[in-house]
Amino acid sequence: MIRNENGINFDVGYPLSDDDFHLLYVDINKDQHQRFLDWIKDVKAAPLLICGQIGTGKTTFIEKGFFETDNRKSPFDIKFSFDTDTLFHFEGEYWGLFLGKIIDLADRLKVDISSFKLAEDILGIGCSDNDLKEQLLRETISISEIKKQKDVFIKVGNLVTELIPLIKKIILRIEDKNGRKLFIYAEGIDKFKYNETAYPFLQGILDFMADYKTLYEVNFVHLFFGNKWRMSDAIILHNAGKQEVEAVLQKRLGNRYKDFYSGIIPAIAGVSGGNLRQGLKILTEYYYAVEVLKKTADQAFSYGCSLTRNNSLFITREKFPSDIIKVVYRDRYLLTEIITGEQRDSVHDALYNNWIMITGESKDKKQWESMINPLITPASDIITDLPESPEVVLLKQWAKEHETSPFGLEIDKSISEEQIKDIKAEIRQEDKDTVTATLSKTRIFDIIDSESYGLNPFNIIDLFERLAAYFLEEKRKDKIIIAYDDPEIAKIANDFIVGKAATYKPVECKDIFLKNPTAENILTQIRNNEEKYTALSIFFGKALSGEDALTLNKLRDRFIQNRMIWWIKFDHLRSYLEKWTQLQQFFLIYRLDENLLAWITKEEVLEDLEELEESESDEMKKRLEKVLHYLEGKKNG
Amino acid sequence: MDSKTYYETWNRVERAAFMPKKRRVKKWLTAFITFYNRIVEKQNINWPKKCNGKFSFPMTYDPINLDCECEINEDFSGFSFKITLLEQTVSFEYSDRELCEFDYLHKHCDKKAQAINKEDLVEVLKQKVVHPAIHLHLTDDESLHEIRLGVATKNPFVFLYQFAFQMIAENKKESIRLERYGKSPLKQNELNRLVDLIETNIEEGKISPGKLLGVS
Repeated sequence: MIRNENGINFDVGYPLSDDDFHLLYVDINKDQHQRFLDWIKDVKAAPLLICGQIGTGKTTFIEKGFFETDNRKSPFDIKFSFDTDTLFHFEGEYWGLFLGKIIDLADRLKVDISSFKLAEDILGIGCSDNDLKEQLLRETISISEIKKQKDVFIKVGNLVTELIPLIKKIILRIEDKNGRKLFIYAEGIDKFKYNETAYPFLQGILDFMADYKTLYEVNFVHLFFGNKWRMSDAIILHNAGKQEVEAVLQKRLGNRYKDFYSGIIPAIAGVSGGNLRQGLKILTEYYYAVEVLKKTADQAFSYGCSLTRNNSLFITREKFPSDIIKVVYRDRYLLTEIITGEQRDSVHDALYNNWIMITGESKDKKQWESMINPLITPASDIITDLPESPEVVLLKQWAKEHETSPFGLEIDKSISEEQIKDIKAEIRQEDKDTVTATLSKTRIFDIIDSESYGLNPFNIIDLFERLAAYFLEEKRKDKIIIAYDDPEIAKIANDFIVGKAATYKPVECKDIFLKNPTAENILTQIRNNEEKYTALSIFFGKALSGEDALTLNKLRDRFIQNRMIWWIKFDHLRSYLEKWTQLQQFFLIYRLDENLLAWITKEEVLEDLEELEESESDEMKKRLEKVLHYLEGKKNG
Repeated sequence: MDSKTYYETWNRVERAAFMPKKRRVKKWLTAFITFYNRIVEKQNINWPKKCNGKFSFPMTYDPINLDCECEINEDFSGFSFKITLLEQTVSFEYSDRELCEFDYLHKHCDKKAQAINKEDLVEVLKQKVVHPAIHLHLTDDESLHEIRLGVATKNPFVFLYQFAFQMIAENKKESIRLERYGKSPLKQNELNRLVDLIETNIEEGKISPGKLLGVS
């Protein structure tokens, strides 16, 4: 990614890589970092979990450790990305891929494994280990190849019991050759929810890996759910302190701009709750609101918070554990027995979705310092202690006006008498003022529901404004979801957006229509087209199955380098969002206002057509002509 | 170099590089915004908008509190650059409703240099871009004295390029500093890039904005 050496470098919070460290890395976990470096260097080390909630910087922490240890090389022997290497999520696939990687490693180290006759047992007589490796590891680019590969994984799955001792023996030979323990990097376990179908299938291979020097990348919730592997030593990356977040955000502004935005940084750090990605997203939206929408500091702050909340913290009334949230808000800790108790599904959702944030280590692993994500608590909570600046003066006024409704949300004021009694009982020792204050703070937890206020429709012109950078700035890797109701209007909107973008600079965009979208054909289409086109517009026809939606969610990091728009029916999207916690980290989601006629005029499209020169591809002209035809048709009734 | 060589060399450069056809104005401005944002190390989020035959877009440079609202008529009949620096605003405007000597020069003295000599090209660009003979200082603040906006032009594209060039600042340890050309490696690099680019491509006729501004 091209970076500004001294200026602004915003994105949605992608993990940092080698080239970014000198510019953007802030060592916020010094002790843990040193502990990790020592672990990497220890050839006999026991397995280790790197664990943290979404957006706390796990991948960056790991990559920085590798970068420092091995001078840009990979210190591990095998990297298994459970999120992006996999597609089917059954035992045979996990073991098949692992076997392929082991054969590949043996091959690279020139360790002879021919005596095991693995290929013959799995593929049939006459096949070599190289054939087997190819079949297991190749990146498939067609549905038929994917099916063939899946068949091989099924065969592996049927032979797992027999294969495990053989794999152990091969690893022994590899360890002999290397003179040290096998080092496995098990990446992307953090993308699995503990209660989803695929998670139990992971347990066998993760336990197997625990006999080696394995580094597991997991979410905080995985500390509590899973087999013996999860009992390994852990480095827990909890949410950072305010000063650390401020330092991270200042780095993103660069030497040139950090002073200019210094007034607002403490407020953004406060509302980030110590979550680095959340802070960066709010700052990015704040910047957009100031620079493009010309909003004042308080308006831009509110805008940044609302958009980040809507896009990243999908909350449904039925899943939101109001009772637990209230208790954590009051006590500022979370008990392990609550995490693993009867309400574990709800607590898991609250932790996995960052509604509850872990803010500190637990000495006895029984009680975890926690807080409620400031994006869902009263604005005044974070504004009170801020250092004075012109921006903060505006924010304080704003916070006063938004005590219980920080981001312009609908509040359910119909709090029942019974609820009030319950709450009063909880705080009966307190004085009257506190009762009132607590009541007002308690109310906010009764209203939170993303569907009712999130995904407000964007008119096509505002949408184009928001998307312009996607088309016009190739170094950006934006991923966008646009929700629609009418597929015909969505296609016209896409033609308008792409055609209009071509009046600014040449655009190479491929439209992909998937009548029956599945994780397999979406991935195949992306693989087939990502190098030929600078942008992809993918239209999802029928609804995805629940399993496919979950698989796509896990593929989040596979899409980091892609620039694409996913056009998805609004009704379908609503059911996916609950499963797309990971995708929502990197995708921006908008809903299309389908009244195109209100925003586009025939004259404007004709002007755009005029601006497309002879040299421009006919395709772009055709797109705008379709829009014109649509507008004329609508106008004529 | 005499003034005739200067005029004819510049006449050729201006027509090849800084006078886009009507249909290419939006693309020229889009490339320019990317170029400008690279200089000031910001991200591209503002794009030229067209309304009532005018393109408009903002250019900002927060570290020195500079703001410029640009408006350019698509038929080149006028422009306006409203520049605010340290809370003081000046407007640089042109309208073809009034006559000026450029109207005569472009019509009756349209001679262009046949061959471009590199030394002449360097000299012409230095005088057009680095230190224009007729220029405006936006403030008497010592630290901003190095901003010289050439105003002897009715060509908004020349003004824009020159404006961006003036914003090239050296990155010092704790802040940025606008340096005189002789002390500014970044300004020298940009001028060298421009000279090489024009020298290589001028025979082709029009130079595309992406190439000219190094953003394609």
